[in-house]
Amino acid sequence: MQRWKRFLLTLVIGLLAGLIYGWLVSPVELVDTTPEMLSEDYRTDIVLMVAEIHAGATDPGSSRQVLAYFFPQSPGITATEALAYASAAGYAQPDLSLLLDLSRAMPATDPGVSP
Amino acid sequence: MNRTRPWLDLLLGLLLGLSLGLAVAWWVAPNTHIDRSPAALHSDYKDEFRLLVASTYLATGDTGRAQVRLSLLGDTDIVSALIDEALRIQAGQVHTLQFSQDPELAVNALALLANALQDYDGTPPAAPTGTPVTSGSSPTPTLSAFTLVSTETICDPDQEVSLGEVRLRDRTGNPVPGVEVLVTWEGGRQSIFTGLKPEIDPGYADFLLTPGTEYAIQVLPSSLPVPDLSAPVCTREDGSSYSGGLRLVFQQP
Repeated sequence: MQRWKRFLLTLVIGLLAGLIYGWLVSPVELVDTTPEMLSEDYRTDIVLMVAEIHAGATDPGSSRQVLAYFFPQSPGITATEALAYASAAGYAQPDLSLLLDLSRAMPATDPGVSP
Repeated sequence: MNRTRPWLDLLLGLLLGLSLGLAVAWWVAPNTHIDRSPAALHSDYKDEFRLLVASTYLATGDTGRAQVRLSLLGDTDIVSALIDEALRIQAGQVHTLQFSQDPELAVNALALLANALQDYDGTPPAAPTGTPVTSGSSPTPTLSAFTLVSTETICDPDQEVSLGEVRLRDRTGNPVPGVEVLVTWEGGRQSIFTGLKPEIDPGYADFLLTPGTEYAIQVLPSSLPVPDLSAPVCTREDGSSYSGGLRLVFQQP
């Protein structure tokens, strides 16, 4: 019994060491990834760029197409999520206005997919 | 044998625990709170990201923001990366989503941003963040005008085509990449960009000269056009004639 206790103790120590190493010392590095895997602030910045272009353009179709290329979900959801993050993160008012305009112009659902 | 066995159990437990811990940390539940920046994007997405930044720059004129955004990609030299992508688009190696109808616009956008970043010194942009410029307008010019400082005739009988070579220099004589040069002739026009053939010269761009056609060349955005340029007539040793090339050097005052 004593032997099993020692075995379990070393197992737990090894497990903790492995978790610390794998999570903190040498965490997984993403390579060749897609935009949806980026941190939320970077994802929001991509949407903000589309919103900046959208503000000076007349064709919402191109904004929708670019959003759909970067993110698999519907452009409307992408824009709304970006606006929510930007509001919570305290983005500047002009940027929030741009994101608001973009989210209003984007359909909430993917027009190519039937409900 | 029995004396060493307890240590073997401990070692086995440690190794097993370590393996389990690493498996959980790397595959089952990787740390999702690490910084996942655009530097991790696949190269195709990086190309579209650069184009998105360049398009945004055309819409807002905000060079500082464009620089910050491009720096997220982890390129060693962000200007070279822009020029390299423009070169690949021009060669048909990159098919962009954002400019699928007109790849030349993509080359234009990348070159203009590369040009702006060359001269960017951290000064805030003229337009405040989020204030859009009307679509289709040009960003604030950042280059001083170039003036033609030399015109040279190139007579090389081995050269198969007649080329108009343009080389741009800054006021200290260094080559200037990423600048649009407009070539016009009766019934046609073409935009060329310096920096797309860095193996020749970072400030180099060229275009084909058709014998008998008169050209005008203008370094954009603000230099005066140089008119009345045409392929020179050169003579071989046997007395026969052929069309030569032109080498034009422009420099900032």
